[in-house]
Amino acid sequence: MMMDGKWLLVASVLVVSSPGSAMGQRPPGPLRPHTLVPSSGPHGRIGVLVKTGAAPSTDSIGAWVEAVTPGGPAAKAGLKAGDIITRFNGTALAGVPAPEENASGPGRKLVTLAHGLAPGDTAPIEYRRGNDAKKTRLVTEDLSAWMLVDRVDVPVPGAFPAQPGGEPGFSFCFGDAWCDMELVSLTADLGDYFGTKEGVLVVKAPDDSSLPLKSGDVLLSIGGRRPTSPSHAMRILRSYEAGETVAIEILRKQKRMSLAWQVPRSDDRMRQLMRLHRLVPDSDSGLPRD
Amino acid sequence: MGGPGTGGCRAQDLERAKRQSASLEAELQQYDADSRVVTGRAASAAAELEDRIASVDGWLAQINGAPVEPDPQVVKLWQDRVNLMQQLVDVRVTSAAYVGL
Repeated sequence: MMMDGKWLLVASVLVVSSPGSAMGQRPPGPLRPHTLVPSSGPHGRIGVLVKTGAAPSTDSIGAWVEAVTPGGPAAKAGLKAGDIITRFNGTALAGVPAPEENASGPGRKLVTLAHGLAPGDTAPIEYRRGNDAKKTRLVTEDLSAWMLVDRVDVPVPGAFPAQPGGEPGFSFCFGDAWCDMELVSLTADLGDYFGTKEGVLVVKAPDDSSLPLKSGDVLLSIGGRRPTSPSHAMRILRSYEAGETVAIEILRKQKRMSLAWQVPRSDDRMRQLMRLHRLVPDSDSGLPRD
Repeated sequence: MGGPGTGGCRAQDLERAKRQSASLEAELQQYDADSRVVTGRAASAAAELEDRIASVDGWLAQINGAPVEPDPQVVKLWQDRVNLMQQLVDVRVTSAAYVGL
């Protein structure tokens, strides 16, 4: 039982408590602030919930990972809930004395160490999984790019009707062009074939001619940022406003090319949505404008 | 999923939610989403769910646990996390078009 635990999202608490941050609003109900001292400047995020309350069974080994944020740096590095981090960025965590009663010394130490990292820093990690000792490296990410949701807003399962084909219907993906594309992260083997080790492969190009991508293109960068997965690509796109032009760098037949794509305006998106739901014919040229 | 209970019920609810969360995390990692072909729609849905989970984790990071029994809001947040994780599993598992090469 971990009823007396304190839980901290490593390296995120500083931002979520910062005045004016995207997480500045609190959900309903009493929330007690954490006890860490906020500081200024960007912070790397490693994406784990670590136990900072006393954990007598594991504090002699290291810091107990209660949960790993999906898609975050720790998840990408292979960490799982239940792992015990024994060494972080060169510092041993086993048996670190607790700063106060009912606190976990290793957990608190990990929080302090993680707060010292900047986005893009690489941290070697040693951890225990069961009886196995393992090693990995993680690359911290910029928290501000992740914590865009300003409140906890959990959709009710089934509240969003599926699209034809059984896919979730609630996602926002800029109309037909990006929605209907098929994408996959570039693996090492695929990378050898396509001539790059990074990027996202377009498996099936969009039918929408407003996005001039072809099957076999590799998305190298979107607005100067390098997508590491299809979800990451969509997250980058989501940071643009309607009407903005996005520079997309691709590899086509092993040659680098640059494309420009304009984020549809809201009325364009609405028209695309209505077409999707067969509310207007495909030939419709647009909604009435004011 | 029910709301947070009272007293000992909350502790049980909290432990159950944590176990479910860990189980769903394991399921997601076993699925190896990065090697799967997905549509932009599914990728966007996954990104949105991941961001919401990150948001829940951010809120959990702000709450100190109660010394005797769990804070009801902590229980609720963990249950929200499970809900979102389940939806993320659903999106990942049901939307992949092919297994990657």
